Amino acid sequence: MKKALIVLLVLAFVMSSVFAGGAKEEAPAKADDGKSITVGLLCIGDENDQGYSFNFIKGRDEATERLAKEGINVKWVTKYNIGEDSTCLDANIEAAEEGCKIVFNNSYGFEPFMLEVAPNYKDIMFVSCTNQNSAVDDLDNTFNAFANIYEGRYVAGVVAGLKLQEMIDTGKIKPEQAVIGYVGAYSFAEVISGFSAYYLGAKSVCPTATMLVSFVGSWSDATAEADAAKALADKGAVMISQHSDNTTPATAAQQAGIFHTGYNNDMSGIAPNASLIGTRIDWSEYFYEFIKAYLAGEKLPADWCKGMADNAVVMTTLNEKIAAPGTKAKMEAVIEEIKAGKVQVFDTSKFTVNGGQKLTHAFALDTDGDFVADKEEAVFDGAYHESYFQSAPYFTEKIDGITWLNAAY
Amino acid sequence: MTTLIALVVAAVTFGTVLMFGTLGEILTEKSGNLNLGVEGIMYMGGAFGLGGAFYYEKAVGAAASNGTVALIIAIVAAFAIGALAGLIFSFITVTLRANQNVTGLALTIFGTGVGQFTGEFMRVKEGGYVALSNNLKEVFVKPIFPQALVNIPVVGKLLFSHNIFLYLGLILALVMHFYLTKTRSGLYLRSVGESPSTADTAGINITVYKYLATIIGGGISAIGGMVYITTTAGCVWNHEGLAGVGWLAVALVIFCMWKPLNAVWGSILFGALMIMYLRLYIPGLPTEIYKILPYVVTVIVLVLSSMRNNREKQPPMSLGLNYFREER
Amino acid sequence: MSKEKRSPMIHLAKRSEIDPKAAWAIRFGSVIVALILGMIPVMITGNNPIEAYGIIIKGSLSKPMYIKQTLKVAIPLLGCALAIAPCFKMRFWNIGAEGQITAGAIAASYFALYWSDKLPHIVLLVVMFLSAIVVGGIWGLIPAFFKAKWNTNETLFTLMMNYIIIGIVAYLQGGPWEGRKGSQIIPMFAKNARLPEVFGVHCGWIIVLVLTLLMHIYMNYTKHGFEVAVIGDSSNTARYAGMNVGSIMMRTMFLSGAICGIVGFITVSGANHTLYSGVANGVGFTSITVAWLSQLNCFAMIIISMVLAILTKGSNTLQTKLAVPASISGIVTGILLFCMLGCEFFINYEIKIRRNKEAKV
Repeated sequence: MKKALIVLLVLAFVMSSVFAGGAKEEAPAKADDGKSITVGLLCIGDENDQGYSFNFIKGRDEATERLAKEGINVKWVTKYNIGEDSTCLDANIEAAEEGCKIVFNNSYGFEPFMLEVAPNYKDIMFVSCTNQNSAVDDLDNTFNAFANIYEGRYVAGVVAGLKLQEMIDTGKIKPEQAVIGYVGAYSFAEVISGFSAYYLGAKSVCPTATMLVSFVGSWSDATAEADAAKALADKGAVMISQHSDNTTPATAAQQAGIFHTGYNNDMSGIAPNASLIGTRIDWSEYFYEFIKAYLAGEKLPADWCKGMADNAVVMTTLNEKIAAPGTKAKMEAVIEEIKAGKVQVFDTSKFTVNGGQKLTHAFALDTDGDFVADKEEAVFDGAYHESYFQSAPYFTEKIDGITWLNAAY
Repeated sequence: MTTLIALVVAAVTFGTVLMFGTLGEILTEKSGNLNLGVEGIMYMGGAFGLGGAFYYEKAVGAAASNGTVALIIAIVAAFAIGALAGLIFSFITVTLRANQNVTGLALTIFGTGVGQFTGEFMRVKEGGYVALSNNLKEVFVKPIFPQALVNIPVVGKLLFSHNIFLYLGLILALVMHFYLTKTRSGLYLRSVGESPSTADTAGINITVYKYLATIIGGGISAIGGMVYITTTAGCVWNHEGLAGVGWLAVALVIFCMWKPLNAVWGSILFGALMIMYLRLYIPGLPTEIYKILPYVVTVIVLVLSSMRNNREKQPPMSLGLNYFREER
Repeated sequence: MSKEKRSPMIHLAKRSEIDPKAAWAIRFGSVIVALILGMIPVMITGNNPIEAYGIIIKGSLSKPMYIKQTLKVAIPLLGCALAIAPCFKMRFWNIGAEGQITAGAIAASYFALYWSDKLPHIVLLVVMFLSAIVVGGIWGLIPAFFKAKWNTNETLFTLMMNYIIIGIVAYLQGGPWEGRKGSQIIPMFAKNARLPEVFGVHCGWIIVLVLTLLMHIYMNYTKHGFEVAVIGDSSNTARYAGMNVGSIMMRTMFLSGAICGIVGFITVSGANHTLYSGVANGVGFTSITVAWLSQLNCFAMIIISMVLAILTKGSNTLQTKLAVPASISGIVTGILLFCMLGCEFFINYEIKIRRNKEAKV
């Protein structure tokens, strides 16, 4: 009796597999009236980070509103706390099965898994934000997108530098104590590019500024980020900035009685006495364009990348209560210059590498798959051209004045 | 020197979390119950502690909320859910006599689920963000001693700069030490853990002791989870944050040889091991390898303590075994 | 006995024997109770629990693609439960399956990454398979060695071994095996390091079904299996009977680690096609549930692993459909376990209620 039951169950198990394989794939529902669409958004975190994923969700909501005004109705399938692992594979499949026509993947590490799924759903568009392989692969339904966030970081750096200079001028700190502590995720091009731009912004108004960088080894680890910020403060940093997903560096800065500039979100609500300003990518710009172009049947941008000039990178509200006097005017001027292309963030006359040398040559792209850049000269016209050949940043130079505390990453 | 002091201070902050987890589990294990569900208990404690304070603040309004009340509510909420978990554990292992190891693992799965579910549910319900206001945050993280004391060179930072939970943990450790070594009831509890049949013959109510120790122990461990969320994680719900902390607390119990006072320095030491990679850079040592240091140390401690088969340093004799009177 | 005054009104008596049908009826009943209790959190979120269960079933079984995904969850669960079964039978609390899976995955990944251009498809897969067995087995053997030699607490030892090996993967991810610099991502495996698909699902399912049969035979019809069972009952008895408990322990743990290693191989080669630190993804823990809920019966594990896979997969759908957090699967799994653990009591004991005081002696 029992044996019979067991045999039956084994059979059932096998049969279900057979059924799984044998049954035909359901054809995805046919295209709509061009006025409504289901779109997926896969997030590595949730709104609780008040940072990275929150910023995407904000972009989602704003884009929805803008499209609604034009009579386009977007239904979102949003999935939270997806890991950069096989759960991402499943999430992409589920989004596709649930009728999404476009699936946005919000984290860098999602891309390899997304690319495994994409070939099986040829008429669904898969977008990997912040990564770089989808644009150049042979699939027509995969895309990349990023924005020139280094511009925003440069401006945030200017705000921070003005504050540092004010502290020097008022005698609060000595010129050599103008130390910026930077909480980075990994020693990865996107991060390196970000803190270098930030540092150059600060240095443009506070020449004695130096920077310490601590890598926490995670895009999102609230505790480690807080602790790294505290450790940086203990090492003498009087200004904290971050390239990580949470608000805890801001909280830590507030506790340590020092200043902070944020990423992804206005963190001055969380740390009113510390957080001066933040910079963020306004993803609504991209979502809006992409969805609209898709519904209109237009050609979709394989590698979208826009900056401050197109409002794809914006600054959050300046915390004027604690910012140095005159910051607002200076900041607006710098933004205008960036928009007009008058200021080059990575102007090679403004920084040196390897202890005093001018940067004259650097490749941007890796084309043979060995992960070492070998093509496209990025240095020309007196500046390093970031996000010029592809949307994902590729600046990995070590600028003088920035010390990596744990270079092992 | 300042680096060292800063390291100690940071180690204490993280160590306090472990201290509560460990002290709770010591109490539980003294009764002979090996509750491997600490991980789950701390997850629940974190979610409910934060939830308690959050909803209190929401109910009375940020302006009217009182920090002390919020603190007490957070502690009580965490303790209550931990005690409930302890009750479930005792009911299944003591009354229904199920295997303690598996029940503990089940509690870990269950508790992690409940913790994450609660955190996530609050987020959805509150429109995306669950965090305390800055005023309340202060109460959880600020030093309780006057600034003058904190400003004393070296000593001030080392002794007086910590948040309230460290001092509560210290008091708890002292009370537990006193209870276990100096009171009759404490002696009974230990005898229940060492030899339930002897204790039973002596007329001690085994069931009551096991239940109470496990329930109170669970409550204490849960406070650790709440301390984690409100101090190191910045009073914001953190989906993965507590992963592994509870297990470390279980390991620490062995490391501390079931002695509450050892738990104090033991948890601070492990607190240091956990955060050292961000503060004490060792050239050439990859950070990810550095991060596994506490676990390697635990393994070494486990092996060494088992090799030195010292009578003094052994777990309660009946740890992990259920007591069946009829099989006596 | 001088304990009349504390003797409760309810009296327990160990059952000498119970009709297996009744035993399974009790277990089935407890599952029902668990599922009903599992409705509580759904109701807290303000949703209809019946609808929620409906979505779980639909989300895991209503489309071929969903079934495939559910099977992909079930395969490692089943494999790992098989690995754990002999350890738990022996009362060796191996909660290091997570690490042993990871160890096997590392070994397999090494060959997948660095030998894929040197070896033909089948040979490469066999090499990956064997290396995963050896490395997974060794990772399991280490705590067993210390347990056998110095009686070191195996629960914590195996657990710590998880964190250590996971840390090593994190190091490989950001160090020697990293693809694009700083990305922390190990490149995807080449085509010939991937398990072929049979009926649309990677052929790991065939491997674990074969393993199920083998493990059933091993546990029930071999000398080894007998020895494991004796030690589980009482290691003293085993010693009196002249068994070398230490070496049996090490042998069993090597076997257990080796099977976990196979699961690791299947996971990287069949499902993920790459290696990352969360490769085991909690399977090592969830499979303990599978093993225990199945009463260590290998064939029952097939069903239980499917049930838990349905729960896991379905909960993800539940999250998107009703905004009920996916962590509900953890809660329901926990409750299921609690009920199953508790119900054994009613199988093993008879509850007799004393009605009249005279009956008392």
